[in-house]
Amino acid sequence: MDFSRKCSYISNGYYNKGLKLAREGDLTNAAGALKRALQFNKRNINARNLLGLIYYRIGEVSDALVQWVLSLNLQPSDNDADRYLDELQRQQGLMDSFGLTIKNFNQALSLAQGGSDDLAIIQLAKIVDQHPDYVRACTLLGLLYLAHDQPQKSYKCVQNALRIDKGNPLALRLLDAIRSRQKEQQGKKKSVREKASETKDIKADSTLIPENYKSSSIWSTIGNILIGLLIGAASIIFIYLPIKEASIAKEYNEQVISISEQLNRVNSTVNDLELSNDALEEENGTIKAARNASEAENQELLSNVQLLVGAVDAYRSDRLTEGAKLYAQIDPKYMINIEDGSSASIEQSFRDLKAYYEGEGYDHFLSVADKAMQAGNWDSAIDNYKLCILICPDRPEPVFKEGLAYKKGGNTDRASELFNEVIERFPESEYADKAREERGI
Amino acid sequence: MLNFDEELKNFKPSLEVTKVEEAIVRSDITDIQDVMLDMIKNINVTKEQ
Repeated sequence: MDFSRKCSYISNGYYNKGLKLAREGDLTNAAGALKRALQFNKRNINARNLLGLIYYRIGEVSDALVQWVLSLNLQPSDNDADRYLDELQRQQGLMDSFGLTIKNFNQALSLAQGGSDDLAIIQLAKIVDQHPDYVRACTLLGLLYLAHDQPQKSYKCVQNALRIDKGNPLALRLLDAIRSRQKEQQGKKKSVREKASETKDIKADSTLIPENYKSSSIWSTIGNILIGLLIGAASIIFIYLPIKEASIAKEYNEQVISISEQLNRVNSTVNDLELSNDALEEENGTIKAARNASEAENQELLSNVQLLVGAVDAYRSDRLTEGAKLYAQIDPKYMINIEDGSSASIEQSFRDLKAYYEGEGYDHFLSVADKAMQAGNWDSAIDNYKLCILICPDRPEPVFKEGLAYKKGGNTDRASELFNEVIERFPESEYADKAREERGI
Repeated sequence: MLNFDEELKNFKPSLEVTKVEEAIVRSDITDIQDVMLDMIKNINVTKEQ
């Protein structure tokens, strides 16, 4: 048999021992056997997983996690550790609670080792109340109670620890110490009782005591009882009550601190959620705005294409006036080709239409308007000059001539407005001089 | 007889959940087979020298 196989056999032997002890509830010794099994074979996955389970059972969750992660690293497939880790991850609240408990235990231990036993006892009592399976917390609390002469409370903690781990050496030592202390106390009580019975015997022999001494003794006894009662009451008022008050105040303060911490955590979470909500709303707003802008842009594009189609159709059907009005409304920035698979070119159609209306079309409407002016038909002249302005808004001639048409038609106010426009917008042109003449400037 | 101070001194802090990753990295999982292999390697190196 080779060395490796021998090691595996020994390791399995220790594993079996550990398993048996674990089943019997002797977790400390089971853990010892399992650690030994792993010293002989680190790849004994059953031993490692069981060791993790034992740690978990006694409340040492972090140690359990370490063993299961190592186990999973050594054997990634067909491994129970995967399931254990999965279950722990699924119960995130439980993990957080364990994390906090372990942190609090370490604080309590530090307090106890620093001499602040009272505070440590308060903290540990809370921990044990929340996690009664946390064996180390139970034993430490039991130890502190016993050190503060509270064997009953200590006994409860020790019993709790032994319920989970019946082989826990400290718990067993504490149990022995508690028992021996109880025996001592019982012995003391017994001796007090014996003394009392002796006194009784002496009292029984009343004939030995003179009568007058006996009566004074009764009064002195009553007096002593009254004095005792007074001292008792005074000690309650001056000693017990302040201590009790201080302890209640301390407990209250700790509760307030704990609630404040919880509140702070909740507030911080709420703030985080509010911030992320604001960010999401802002993002949503931006997306909506972008979508709206995009929809508006698409609508504009569609309207302009419709205008172009109408203008081209009117031009082809010799409805030049209608075509000019439609053409004038087109926004050139939307006259771009759309990749829709068709061979139609919006850009080219618009270029052709523009070339016609700004050239031949413009001349045609200007000529019609001039003829109407000569014929004294002011309204027709105004309409056609307007068309020229619509087609070529940057040319001064039709503006000036429209002004003339209004003047001749009798609308001098409108005529003045148009002459002023020519003077302001085209100050260097010949029509500006003519406009000034018309205005008498 | 229980020695309170001694027992208290023996208590070590529990491993905190936040330190698990660190503990895994630090953990030494060497077994006796690894130790033996190391020893054999060392013996071979010494012999070669």
